[in-house]
Amino acid sequence: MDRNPRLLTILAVVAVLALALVPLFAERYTIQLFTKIMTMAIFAMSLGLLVSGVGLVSLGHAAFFGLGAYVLALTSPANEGASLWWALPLVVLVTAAVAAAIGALVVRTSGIYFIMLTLAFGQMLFYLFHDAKFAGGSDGRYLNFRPTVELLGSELLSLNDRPTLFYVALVFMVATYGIISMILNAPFGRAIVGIRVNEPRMKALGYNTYAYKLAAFVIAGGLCAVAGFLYATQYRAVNPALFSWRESGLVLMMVILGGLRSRLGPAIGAFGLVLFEETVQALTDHWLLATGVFVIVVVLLLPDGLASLFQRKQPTAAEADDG
Amino acid sequence: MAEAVLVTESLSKRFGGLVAVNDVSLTVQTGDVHCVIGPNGAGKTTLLNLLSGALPPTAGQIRFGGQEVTSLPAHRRARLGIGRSFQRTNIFPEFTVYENCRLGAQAKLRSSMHFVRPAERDVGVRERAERAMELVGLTGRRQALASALSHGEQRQLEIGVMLATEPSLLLLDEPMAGMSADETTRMVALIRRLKAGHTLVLIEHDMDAVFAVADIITVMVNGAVLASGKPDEIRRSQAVQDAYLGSDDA
Repeated sequence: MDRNPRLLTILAVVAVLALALVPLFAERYTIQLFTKIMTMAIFAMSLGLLVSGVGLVSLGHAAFFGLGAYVLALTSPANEGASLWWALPLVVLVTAAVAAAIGALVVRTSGIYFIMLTLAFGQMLFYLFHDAKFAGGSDGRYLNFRPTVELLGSELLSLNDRPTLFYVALVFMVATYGIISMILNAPFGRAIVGIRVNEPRMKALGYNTYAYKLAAFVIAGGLCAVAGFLYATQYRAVNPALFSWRESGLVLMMVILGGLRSRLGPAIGAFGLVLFEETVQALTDHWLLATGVFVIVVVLLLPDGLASLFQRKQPTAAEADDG
Repeated sequence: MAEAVLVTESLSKRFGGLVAVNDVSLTVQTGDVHCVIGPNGAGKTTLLNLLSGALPPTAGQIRFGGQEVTSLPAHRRARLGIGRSFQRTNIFPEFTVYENCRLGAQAKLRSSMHFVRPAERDVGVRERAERAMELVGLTGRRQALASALSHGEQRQLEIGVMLATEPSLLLLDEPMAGMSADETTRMVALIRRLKAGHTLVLIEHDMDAVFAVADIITVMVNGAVLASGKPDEIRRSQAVQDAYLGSDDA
């Protein structure tokens, strides 16, 4: 994935600063809405690492969103909040372990077969949790208490406070972007982008492409679990729909809508899609139809996604050519 | 006599009923430019794919530097020092010339499972990439996108990406394919330079170029070795004349 042009970077910083002001002015509903959007942005960025990083289009990424949420709900004590300090690493590690098991099988394939296999695994997890008594079956589970954030025995942050949860989501979102950006600049990131562009050549050069694809799949799963953690914390409830292919399709749509060539694309797509839906929902009952039209128009007019609105034309081959 | 760097014994590859490579036993001596020639469909590229590990053989053995490598996957063989360039240019079109070579150079790290330090900070990798660009004469084009290069430059880059991995054995599949006379001359000069320090196995259709650089020539027809020897011997061989060199379409 290309580095972001300067204009887009500046706009992103301004957007984050503006976002940080939201809880100071906005009412309850808006704070909750933006907390949810930032959760979805983390979800979308983790999928973006797979789709525009390695070139693996997953239609089962919601499996790791659902897992992240369920692991928190199932491991939280019944009469007090779990400590974030151990709950978050646990959620990430368990989800990453499941991603490693699924990934070991699915990254052997590519293209349409990868899409079908990830879809199949996503549906398997959906039915597993849908039918499992310990997980509450089709009703899901409640999270009786939100995780606690303590330092030296006293409460540092209360996630029950809406603005606080908002700021935690904001920090997690920026951190997720930072981690993905760091990975993409490191040798590992260069290798996976090379695999997307030309995997046979990478093998001929000596790269064990299977290992790199698997590692990327595990990292994407682990980062996605953070979004699941935030979701369960915000809504204090989990249900099997979190695993559904509809959820996987929605987040894939955000990634494509935002733009596959930009690192900020998935986050822009998450904000764009949810805010668009919110706006039209207030205007018409046929908002799903409007959303469909919106996606089609964006994809047709902006092949490089919403992110390309904020960047100058990519230099063409000839322009990039002067030494 | 120098020690053989690459040895194949009765190497065969079948695709269903087609025998693409049939019982090929080759010995490539260290430091030689070993050219493989033959008409289209003789199995030359398939042979190269067997040597690089892109395809598993149906039967036979491959030894590289005294080590049995027959069942090693391509990426493991590359790490042992087998570099490969392709007949159809096989580069990273959307990357710059520099990044193409840098990826080749990075492949030489023990592992690329590094997630924190920026790739750009690795001086060793950068220097290997620079050397590779210089060897193939593309230093002046470092920031150009690979897709923007001329055909001849792309062929040079094809070799450069491979050289950045610092292989000891080079498998070149028609490096002169589609090149102008000028570009061919430069490529011949490059191959001569690479001879110092590398062993080369070269598939090529351009007979003038082959006779200009080859130490040993192996002639393949219908998947099998028809003859193998010094350029003079091959030129004089009646069997080769009849099967291949005699025809005017070379």
